[in-house]
Amino acid sequence: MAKLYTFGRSGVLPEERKELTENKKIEKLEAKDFVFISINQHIGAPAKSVVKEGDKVLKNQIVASGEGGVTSVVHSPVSGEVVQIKSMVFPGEIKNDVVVIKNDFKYEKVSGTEEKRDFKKDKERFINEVKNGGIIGMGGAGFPTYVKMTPPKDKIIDLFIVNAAECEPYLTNDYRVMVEFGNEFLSGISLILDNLEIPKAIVGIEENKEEAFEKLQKVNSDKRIEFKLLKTKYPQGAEKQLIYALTKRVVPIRKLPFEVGVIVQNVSTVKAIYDLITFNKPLTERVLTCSGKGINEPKNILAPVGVTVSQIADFCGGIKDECKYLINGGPMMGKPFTDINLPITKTTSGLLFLTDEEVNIEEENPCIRCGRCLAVCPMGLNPTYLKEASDRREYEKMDDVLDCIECGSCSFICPASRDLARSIVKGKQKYTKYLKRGK
Amino acid sequence: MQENRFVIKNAPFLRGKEDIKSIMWTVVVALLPATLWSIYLYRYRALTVILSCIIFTELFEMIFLKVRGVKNVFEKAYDGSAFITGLLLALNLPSTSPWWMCAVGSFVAMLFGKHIYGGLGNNPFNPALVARVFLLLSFPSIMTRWTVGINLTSQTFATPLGMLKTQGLSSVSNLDYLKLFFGFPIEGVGGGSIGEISEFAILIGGILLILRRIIPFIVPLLYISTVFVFTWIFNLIDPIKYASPFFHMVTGGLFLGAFFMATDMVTMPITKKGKIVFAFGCGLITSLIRLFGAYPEGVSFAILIMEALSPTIEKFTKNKKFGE
Repeated sequence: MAKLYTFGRSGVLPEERKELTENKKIEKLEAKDFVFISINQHIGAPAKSVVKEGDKVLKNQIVASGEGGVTSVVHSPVSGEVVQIKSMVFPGEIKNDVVVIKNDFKYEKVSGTEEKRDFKKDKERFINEVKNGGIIGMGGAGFPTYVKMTPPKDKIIDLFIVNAAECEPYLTNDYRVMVEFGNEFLSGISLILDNLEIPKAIVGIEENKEEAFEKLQKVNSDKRIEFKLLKTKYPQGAEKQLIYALTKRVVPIRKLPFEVGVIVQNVSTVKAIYDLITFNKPLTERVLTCSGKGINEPKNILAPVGVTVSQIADFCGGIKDECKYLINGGPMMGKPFTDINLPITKTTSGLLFLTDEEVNIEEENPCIRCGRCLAVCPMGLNPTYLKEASDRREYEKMDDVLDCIECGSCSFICPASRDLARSIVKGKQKYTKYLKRGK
Repeated sequence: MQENRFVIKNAPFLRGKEDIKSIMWTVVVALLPATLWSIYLYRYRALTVILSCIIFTELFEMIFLKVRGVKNVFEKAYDGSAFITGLLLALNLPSTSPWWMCAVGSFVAMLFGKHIYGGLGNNPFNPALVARVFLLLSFPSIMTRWTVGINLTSQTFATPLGMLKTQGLSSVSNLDYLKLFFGFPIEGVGGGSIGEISEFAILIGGILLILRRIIPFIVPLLYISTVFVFTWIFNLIDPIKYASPFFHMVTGGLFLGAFFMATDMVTMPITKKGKIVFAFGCGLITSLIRLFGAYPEGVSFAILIMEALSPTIEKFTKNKKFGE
């Protein structure tokens, strides 16, 4: 038994429920008549549509792009015609413009894309490719990857960490990518190490994915890559907690991993970088887990970005009558939604169709000050006090909300079923606005 | 359209299984060894006290919930919290307590201990302790009528701590500590409150709570060891005047207080370091009252004083943030 790494005593142990999909091979889903491309799938400066109604687009053509230091671009997964640009409301009450493309099923590509190429080691060009390839963090946050690859000049990066914790229950997409695309995944890591001139990589995998851990170790030939088995615990895959678990380096409060010489990327992001650099294939599809007891055939799916939830549900045998909750992402941090006509984006790691049997959220009760939320908070915060301060807008007591990583461990553990995380996340928005007003 | 049937709730969608009810009823189960032992020793007298306290606390709980306009009164009243208060109050009373005094105590516990502050979670003091101290000050003679088991008529005796306080160390020097620890009655020695007689029975329940992670082990451990060390120091300085620390371990309400009263999650500090300061303070004040105070026993006062300091302790014992 290998040594298990973890981030200390905080965190929680939700039921894993990965058995629904962990042994299901990734199935490819083709786009239907229409795809719906959200122009903002990343965190940062918003992108704008660069096509208009009636335009012909090719597969891999850029349809939206942003300006500024932190932004991203979006490509079309099909060739066809732009029929409409409309606004849609995404999970979390976020309004976004969506480019609707009528698929002509010809799959005419932008010339040069999806052809194998020789990429000579070149840091600047590499980062630029990652930017123009529309690569963003596919673990769920959607932070533009090229920004993560561009540390301030005074920071020396000596370690690349691959976040393969996949600590969210139900989700098995990263696991399947590692099992089925192990060589591509490993080549992706090597490419990143070569081009960014980083001497070493650690892949952190949770214990419940030991098969991937064993397999990758067997096929790996790059001596710079090390594999470490993590304890199965939530939120093992939170960036700062993961860095600490694997290296004992502590990212200072409100600072980025650069500060301790580390860059972290998620499994699917690494695979996407491999596809981009080796085949000149921009990010237009992803592997996601479609699971839960509310769907007939839970699956891992390789789907073009922009297909609708309803198409995915049909692909999985349809939604059961007892399904009551739709969730974009994992059950701990995912966002609820009700509109099955919404499209998936680059950050949709999972679509969950859950029943009342699986979701046990009770009515909120008063806090009994048991202190469990403090004990489990991986950031060492006082969630129950922060909730109260946030609900009452007591700004002078709210500063710590900015350190919340929104993992939801506090709400999970609370015996009074208090929606602590929800209030604190809202408090974060209120407090940020308050600070801006102050200036 | 199908989509209307989907419901929006807030993440996380998975929640832990432990709720207020399961915590509270586990505490009740943990109190069972001490409760059953008290019923074995004091028979119908203990049973009367226990039943009166529980019935009246539940009754007043429902009345005050209703007065406060809380919904689901019945469900809330049986979350176990009022039941614990009633049981704890009973375990803190002499076996000779009349039913009406139990009723008064239950009323005080529920009104001045709990609902006046806004109910469960908002009370600064443990309701059972508030009631106990109220009764002790209002009915001092009834509250110190200690008997030896059930088989004695109306003859009452001082507890070991009382004997130590009024008659000096020589009066308790022959007591069998093991008998006291397991809670067997000793001829001529008052047993004390019905629930505190067997440290052994309390320990069994306390260990259950620690294993189930309902109370942090540090609080009873530090509370009891502080009393041990403090009384030991004085015992070393002057063994003629001060009793052995083992005597202090097996007498009075120390174990009941340390495992079941000081660990009241509502009233102790919420931070880890705060709990340590709190437990140490409880031990220190208990020792000071026992050694130098006018009362023979100081557990109730010590816990109440530290509970009053709880908010202040919290302010100075904030958790360290990750990366700070």
